[in-house]
Amino acid sequence: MNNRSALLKATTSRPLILLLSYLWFPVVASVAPGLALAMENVDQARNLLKKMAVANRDRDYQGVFTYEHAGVLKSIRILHIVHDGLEYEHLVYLNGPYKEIVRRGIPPTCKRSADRFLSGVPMPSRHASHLENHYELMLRGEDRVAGRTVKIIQVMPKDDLRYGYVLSVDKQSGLLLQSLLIGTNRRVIERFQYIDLTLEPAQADIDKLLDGPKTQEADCLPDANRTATSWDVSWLPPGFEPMESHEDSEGNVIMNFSDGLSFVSVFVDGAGAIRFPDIQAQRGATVAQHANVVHDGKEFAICVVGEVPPETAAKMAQFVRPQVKR
Amino acid sequence: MAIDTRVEETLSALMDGEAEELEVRRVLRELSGNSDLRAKWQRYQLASAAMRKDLPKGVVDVSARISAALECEPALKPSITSWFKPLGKLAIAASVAVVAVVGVQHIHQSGSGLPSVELTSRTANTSGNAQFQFPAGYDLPPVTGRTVSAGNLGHSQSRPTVLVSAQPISEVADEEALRDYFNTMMQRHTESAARSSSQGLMPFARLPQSEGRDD
Repeated sequence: MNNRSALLKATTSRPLILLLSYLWFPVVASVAPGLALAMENVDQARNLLKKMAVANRDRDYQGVFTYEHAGVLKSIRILHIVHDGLEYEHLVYLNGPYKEIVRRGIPPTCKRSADRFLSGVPMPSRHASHLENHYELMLRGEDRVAGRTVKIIQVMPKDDLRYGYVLSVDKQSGLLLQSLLIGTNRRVIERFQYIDLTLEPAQADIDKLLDGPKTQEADCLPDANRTATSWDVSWLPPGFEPMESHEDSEGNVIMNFSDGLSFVSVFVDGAGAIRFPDIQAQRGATVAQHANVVHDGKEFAICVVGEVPPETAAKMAQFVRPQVKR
Repeated sequence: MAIDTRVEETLSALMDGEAEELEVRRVLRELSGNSDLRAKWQRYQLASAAMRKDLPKGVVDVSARISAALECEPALKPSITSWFKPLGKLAIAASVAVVAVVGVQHIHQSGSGLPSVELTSRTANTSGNAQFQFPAGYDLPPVTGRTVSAGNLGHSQSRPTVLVSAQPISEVADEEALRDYFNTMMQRHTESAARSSSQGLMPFARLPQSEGRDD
């Protein structure tokens, strides 16, 4: 190595340069397979994300998971089954006052927008966008969560406009068993983690869930659920795409945006009367930016809410504008 | 071993353009005598270039020449401007402190009752989460160090808040109403996010259920 640096100093003579390029060849050659490996690693991570996007819809599972942020720990019991091609879900909050969420008979056409994103289905959007344009994917080996072997995918953002994730995906089923949200400074902002999971739910619980009125959710197709609104957000973090949008007769607007992993909702309240100054609030990873806008002599309250850095929410709030009428 | 780790950290910082001048000198000194470290640095550069799809056709090592040039460079004479520099830094530090104090006051003011929504600044929030550290074994490789460099640890602790109301919150709005408003907004967001999230039903866990405010 010392010889090499001595050679480097004498870069004036041509034969030496030639010799040098040969000397470096082994170095480049030894790095190249490493790069190929890295590509393979990214491919595996991408495929695992696709598998994950499908698994949480297609699989039967029952378990308990925890949610932790800022020193608060909650646990939730979950049951998810697929029966006659329809999804049934039951969530019970195990802390605090009793609360449950039941959804019965969700059709497979009712695909979650983010699943489309992760499984590579083009978004109904202005530009085709891919997760990897904005995140770096990397497979980080195996670990154990809820007594099961998981593969760890690290998803780090390429800019400061979104958070990163460490996702632990069940090797057998593809179910997401642990999700860490990584803020700036590599701090874990919140953590979802299964503590117990079975892919064979108890028959008694299945029967109980199947027995009940079906949930009304006919309008769950993102395409069908996107109605034209009189408001728009003229700046979005790169890679964020409109998901669902809705406007009611009173001029209240809700718009959802996602880059496949992070979600932002934008609310425009047409009720008038400014109640609060421009202000920001945070809870766990969720940030809410409130702003007031006057349009056509009328006051509107804008609220941008999402699991994104506060700066991103604040900037989006500045760019919530009435649509230009054509 | 400890020295090696430190040098490697500096190497990462150097990749990110965040190394201090003294550290750069140290790393260069180390590089000239340590072939392993030199090979590592070259690997970092190649990996980084590959990620930018900017692989060089050949590789040239100029670190020895930079070291030599640095040694020949005359030392800078102290000038009047050097008096102002620390003062400027002090002023910035003072203004940061003022912002931090304002933020902290707000937490105290909003600390009455159950704070299901924190009306806080970024400064307060990151320090509030200090108990969360990156778990061992999940450490990041140097190649992704660009976005999560070890070099900028603690930056946001001193970064001014994104938005702090100029007046105390209690003077400009009814705090309780404000908290309810944000709770409602976050709940509506969570419900629509959970409907379209790739994480299945997990986002439902974010609902502020344990405070018993919602139905």
